[in-house]
Amino acid sequence: MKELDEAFELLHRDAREAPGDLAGARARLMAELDGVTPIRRRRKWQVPAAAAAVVLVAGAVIGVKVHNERTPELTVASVLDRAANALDVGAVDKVVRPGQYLLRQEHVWSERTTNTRPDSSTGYTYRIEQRNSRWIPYDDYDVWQESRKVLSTEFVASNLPGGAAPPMQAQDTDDGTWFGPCANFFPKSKPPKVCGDRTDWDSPAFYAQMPRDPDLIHATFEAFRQMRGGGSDTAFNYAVQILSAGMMPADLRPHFYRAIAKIPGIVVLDQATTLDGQQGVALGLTTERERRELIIDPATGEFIGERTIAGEQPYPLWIKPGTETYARSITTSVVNGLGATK
Amino acid sequence: MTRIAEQGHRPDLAAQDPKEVFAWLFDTYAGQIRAYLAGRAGPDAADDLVAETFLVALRRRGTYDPAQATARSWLYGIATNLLRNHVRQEVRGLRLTSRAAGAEPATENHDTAVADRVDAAARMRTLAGALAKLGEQDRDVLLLTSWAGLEPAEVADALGVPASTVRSRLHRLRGRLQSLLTNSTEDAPR
Repeated sequence: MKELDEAFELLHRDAREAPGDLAGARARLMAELDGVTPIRRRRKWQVPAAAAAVVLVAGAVIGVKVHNERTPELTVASVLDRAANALDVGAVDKVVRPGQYLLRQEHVWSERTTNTRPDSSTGYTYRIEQRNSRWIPYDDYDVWQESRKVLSTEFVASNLPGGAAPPMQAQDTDDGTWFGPCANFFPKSKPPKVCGDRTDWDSPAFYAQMPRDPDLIHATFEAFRQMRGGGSDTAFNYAVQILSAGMMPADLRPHFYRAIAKIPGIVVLDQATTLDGQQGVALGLTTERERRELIIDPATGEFIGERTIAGEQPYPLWIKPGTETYARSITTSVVNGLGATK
Repeated sequence: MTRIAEQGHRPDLAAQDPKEVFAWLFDTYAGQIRAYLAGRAGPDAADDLVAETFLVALRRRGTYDPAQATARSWLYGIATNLLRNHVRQEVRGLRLTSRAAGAEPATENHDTAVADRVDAAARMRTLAGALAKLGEQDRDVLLLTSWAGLEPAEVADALGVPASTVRSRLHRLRGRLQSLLTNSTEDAPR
């Protein structure tokens, strides 16, 4: 095997021995480390990876990397159409029987910003990582369960003097377990959640009333956009939010993808690969404030996740352009009891 | 710094001061990881990738379990996953190398040492061509072993596959490549 080892040694030796810019890489790491504090506990749920398929996907969105080079042959319509075709032939809903629950698990990284002036010109931002689980009963009028767990928090940025920031204030709804029918976990919240609400994407009634025609679905995006008074990003964000709810029935998804393809301004950001090796395609819409990305596997039609990147003029002002401000992935499975994972 | 070093290559990233432990990790592993990345994706991409590797590691430090993997294999696993976005670039580079003309034509020089070098270069080009045709995970196993110097158990941790799979795959791949190199040298014109 000497010859083989020698060939490996020679292969791309110049590249491997070329001096690199480690100082730049180190500086980026050190800048990111400012304000990061010890976690002081280990999250057992994330390893070993092979033992928890759901975790493989849960970790997928966080750290999604999008290839810098564009792929001209990919168009939004072709990607979404391929995904829709895959769903047309193979998608089936997970069957929840009486007494069983659909368990929706999400892994979320989100920004938590505090403005210290009424005009939002100063403040500070933390990042909070959560794992949220929701048990949805066979009959959605029965009791649901929502459990939220904060996995980590870290300081992101501040424009207060000296870059200082008070400790992040946890909210009552960050960590805990709640129960209620029809996702009504917080009865005092406004507007209240009501069972059978055809305008609430947490309700099966929302999907039941949604047309199965891409043009008509796109018309609902457009109606939402007009109601809000925004641009294409308003329609795209609305569509991504609905997909991220993780409750869309299989027969609706292909039509929904084809409707998304009709939103003006969406571009294919090229092949995306998660840290867990899942291959997907990122579709995104960029505004001055942010770039919202929807990541799907065009081969299977699976919705892999979403993320948001701060744009050239981010909000809040003290966030650096290019910062990942939000990431979420969702997996679903059928389990045999409230609070159960199997 | 002594406190960290005493814990060898399995630091408790969740509990220790991130600044201290990540500075140590970077200073210990960044150079070798960059070399590995440069060999696979090219020197230009490597600088960015090595920075990304440590930024991702920092963000995901809560998921690192020192009982499961060494810090080195964990970092190489992240780096290798990041390379997934550079597969086309890597394969293109390998194909270019496989097609590159030999620098020193053997037919014009009878010096044995030169002839040996020509043989070695021919084998290297054959290897490049063969690697370009392999699947990503086969290439990962070979290059994590040969360039990164990871043990099969560490490669297994890095890739999230059983160590036995890595060993058998390594054995099979190396045997196949060695045969290919032997044949290519025998076939090469003198």
